[in-house]
Amino acid sequence: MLHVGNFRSRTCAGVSRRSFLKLSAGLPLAFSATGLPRVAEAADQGRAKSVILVWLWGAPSHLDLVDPKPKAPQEYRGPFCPIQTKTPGIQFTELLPQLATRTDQFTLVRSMVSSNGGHPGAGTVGLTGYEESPGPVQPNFGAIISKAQQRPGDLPPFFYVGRGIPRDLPRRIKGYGGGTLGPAHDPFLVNCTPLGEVELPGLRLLDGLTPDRIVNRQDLLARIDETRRLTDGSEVANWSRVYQTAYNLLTKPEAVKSFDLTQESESTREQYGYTKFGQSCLLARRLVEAEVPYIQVNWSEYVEAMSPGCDFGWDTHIYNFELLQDRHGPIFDRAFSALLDDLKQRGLLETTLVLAMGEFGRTPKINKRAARDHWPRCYFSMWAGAGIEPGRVIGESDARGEDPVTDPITPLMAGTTVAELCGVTAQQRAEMQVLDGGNVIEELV
Amino acid sequence: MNTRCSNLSYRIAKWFCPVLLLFGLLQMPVISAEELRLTSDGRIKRDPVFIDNGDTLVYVVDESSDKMRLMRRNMRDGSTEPFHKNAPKSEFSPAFSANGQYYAFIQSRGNLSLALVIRELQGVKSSEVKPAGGFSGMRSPAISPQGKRVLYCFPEKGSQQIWSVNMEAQDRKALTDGQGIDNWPAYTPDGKTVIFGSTRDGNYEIYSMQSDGKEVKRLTNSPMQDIRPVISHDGKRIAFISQRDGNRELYVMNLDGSGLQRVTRHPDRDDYPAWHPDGKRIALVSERAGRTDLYMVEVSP
Repeated sequence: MLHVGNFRSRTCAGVSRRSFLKLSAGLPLAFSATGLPRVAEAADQGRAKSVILVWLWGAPSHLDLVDPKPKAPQEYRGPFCPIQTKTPGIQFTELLPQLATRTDQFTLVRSMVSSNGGHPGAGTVGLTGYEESPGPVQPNFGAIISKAQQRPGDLPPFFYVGRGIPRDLPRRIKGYGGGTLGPAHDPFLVNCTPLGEVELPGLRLLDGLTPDRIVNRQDLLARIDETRRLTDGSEVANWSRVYQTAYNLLTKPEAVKSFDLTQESESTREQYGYTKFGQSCLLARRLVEAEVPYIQVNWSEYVEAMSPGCDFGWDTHIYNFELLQDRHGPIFDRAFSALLDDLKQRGLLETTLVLAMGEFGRTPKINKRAARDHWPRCYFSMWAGAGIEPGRVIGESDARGEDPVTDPITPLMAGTTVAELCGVTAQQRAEMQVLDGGNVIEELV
Repeated sequence: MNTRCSNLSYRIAKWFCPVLLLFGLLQMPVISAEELRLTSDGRIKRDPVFIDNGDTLVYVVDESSDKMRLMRRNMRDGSTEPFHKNAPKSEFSPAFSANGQYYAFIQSRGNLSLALVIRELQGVKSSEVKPAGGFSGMRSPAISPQGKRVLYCFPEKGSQQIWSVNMEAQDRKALTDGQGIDNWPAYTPDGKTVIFGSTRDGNYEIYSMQSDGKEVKRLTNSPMQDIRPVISHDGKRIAFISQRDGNRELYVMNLDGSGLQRVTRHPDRDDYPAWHPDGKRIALVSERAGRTDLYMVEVSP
C-alpha cells in the first residue's frame, strides 16, 4: 500500500494517531483526464463552478422520506409520521428532521420518472439520461461537464467518491463514465472510510511505494514500468493516464491536501458524522474548494441493502422500514444537512450545484414482505445552490405517490439542467453529441 | 402591616415552593447528569443486550462497510472481542434466554435473504428458521424466560406478524394477525406477557399482549414513533425510544403504560435501549459529536 502524506487524526478517545492518505490502484476504470486533447472549446462558467451529485444508489423510497402520503391507505402510506418542514405546506417524514428545518436551502422535485425499472439500466439512465442499449453508452453527466470545463489543475476533473463503480450483484452499470467521450473522461475513484481516511483504489497497482520514494520521478517511472510488465494489455493501454494522475497527485502537496480531512476542524467533521457517507460528503466539499468541476458521491457501491459483501444500498425489497429508520434516514439526514450548511457558510453554495437523487423510487404499495420494490414511475430529486431559488417544490405526485400529476421530469432533463447551470451551452452539447433532445427544467435555470 | 406582609409571603412561599419544586422535578430528566461512555471507536452500533448478570454486554457493530458483527464487551475490564470468532456474513439482533442456555440472532445468508439462528450457548445444538423463498428476512428474536420458545417477526402478505417457534425452530405459530408492522417482541420475566411495537393503528406505538397473543393493549399514544420496547429484569418497567419530542430519546414507563418519564435530553439520537440487570441503569446507542457509541445512563428506581 502506498501511503502518501503524514496526517494527524484524532481517535474518539482524543488520542492522536497517524493517518495516511492511501494511494493504491487496481481498477482500470479510474483515470485522470488531465493532459488530454480538447475536443470542444472550454465552456464559459455558468452559475455552477462545481457540481456535487449525491447518488442515492439503490433507489430510496419517496413516500418514506420527502413525499409522505398520510391520507393514503395504510398499505401505501407506511409507518412514518409526516412532519412540517420550514416551507409552509410541505411535509417530510420524521426520518429527516434536520433536512425538514432546511427546506429553505434547497428545492425538491417530486415528479421524477425513469424509463427503466432495473438497477444497472436505470443507473445508466439516471447518470447519462439515456438507456444503455442500443449502444453506444452515453457519457455520464460528470464526463460532459469535466470535458467542457477544461479547467487547469492538479486534480482530475471528475471524481467518484465511494467504494467502487456503482453496481448490483450481477454487474456494474455501463453509464458510469466517459461513454462516447471515451475512457479518458472516466471518473477518478476515491474511497473514504468512516473515520475519513482517504484511499485511491485507482492506483492500487503502485503497491509498495513509500512517500520518500515517490518524490523521485525515476523511481516512480521504474515502478510503473515494473507494474506494466505484470499487467495485461488492456490495463497497459490505460497506464499513461494513470501515470499522469498518479504523478500529479504524488508530487504536488497542494493536490494531496485536498484529500486530507484531518485539516478540517473537529466540529466540522462531527457535523457530517463519522460515517462513510458523511465523511465522503465532507471530502466532496474539499474537492469543490479545489475547484474540481464534478464530484459524484456514491451512497454505496452495491444497490443491495442487506446482502453479503454489499454495502447497504437503498434497494430495500426487505427491511425497508427498519433500514430507513435505523441507518439510511439518520445518516443521510445528518450528512446532507451538514453539506448544505457547510457550503453555505463558506460562501460556496452560490457557485456549487448540489443535487441528490437515486435511479428511481420505490413502490407506493407495500409489498408482501412489508417493504417496497422498484418504482420508476415516480421519485424525487433535491437541488441546491448555483443560484437556484430554494424553498420550493417542483412537481407533484398523485394521492398515493404512484405517478406525477404534473409534467414528468426525466433524468435527461436533470442532466441537461446540470449542463446548462454549468455553462455548457446547447451548441457545445451538440458539438459533443451529448444530451441530444434534452430539455432543461425551466424552474431551475 | 409588616406582619401581615410577612404572613402573606410565608403563606405564598409555603404553598408555592412545593409546587415549584414538584414542577421542577417533573421537568427534570430521570438520569444523573453523567452519561458513561462504554465504547469510543465511533462506528455504527446497535442491539445491545446484557448477559452474565450484567458482566457482559453483547452488541452489534459495523465491522466494515458491508458487515455487521456481534461483539461482546467485558463490563469489568472494558475489553471487547467478537462474539463469534468466525463470522463471514452480517449477524445482528442477538437475544438470550434468561437461564443462559440459548441465544438467537439474525444471520445474512444471501442476496436479501436472512435466517433466524437459535443456538445453545455452551453446547453444539443449533437450529434455524430458514429464509423463505425470494427476498425475505426474519427480525427481532426474543427467547421465553423458560427457554422453551423463540419469538421473531416475519412479514407475509404485506403485514408483519410476531411468530413463535420452539427451540428446534419448529411448531411455528402466529401470535399476531393484525394489519401493519409488528416488531421488537419482549417477554416479561414470568413469561406471561409480551411487549411489542406495532403500526396497526397508523404509526409505531407500544403494545402488550398475553404470551398466547390475546388481550392486546395499547400502551402509548404519540403521533411520532415509539419503538424498541425492552422490559426491565424485574418485569416492572419498559424502556423504549420515542421521537415525540423532536428526535429520538430514551423513555421509561411502567408495564401498564403509566408513569411515563423521559430519560435522555440530547439533540443527537439516542437509540437501542438495554436494561442492566440491576434495574438502575440502561445501556443505549447514542450519537454524540457525529460518532455512534454505547453509553450507560442511570434511571431512578
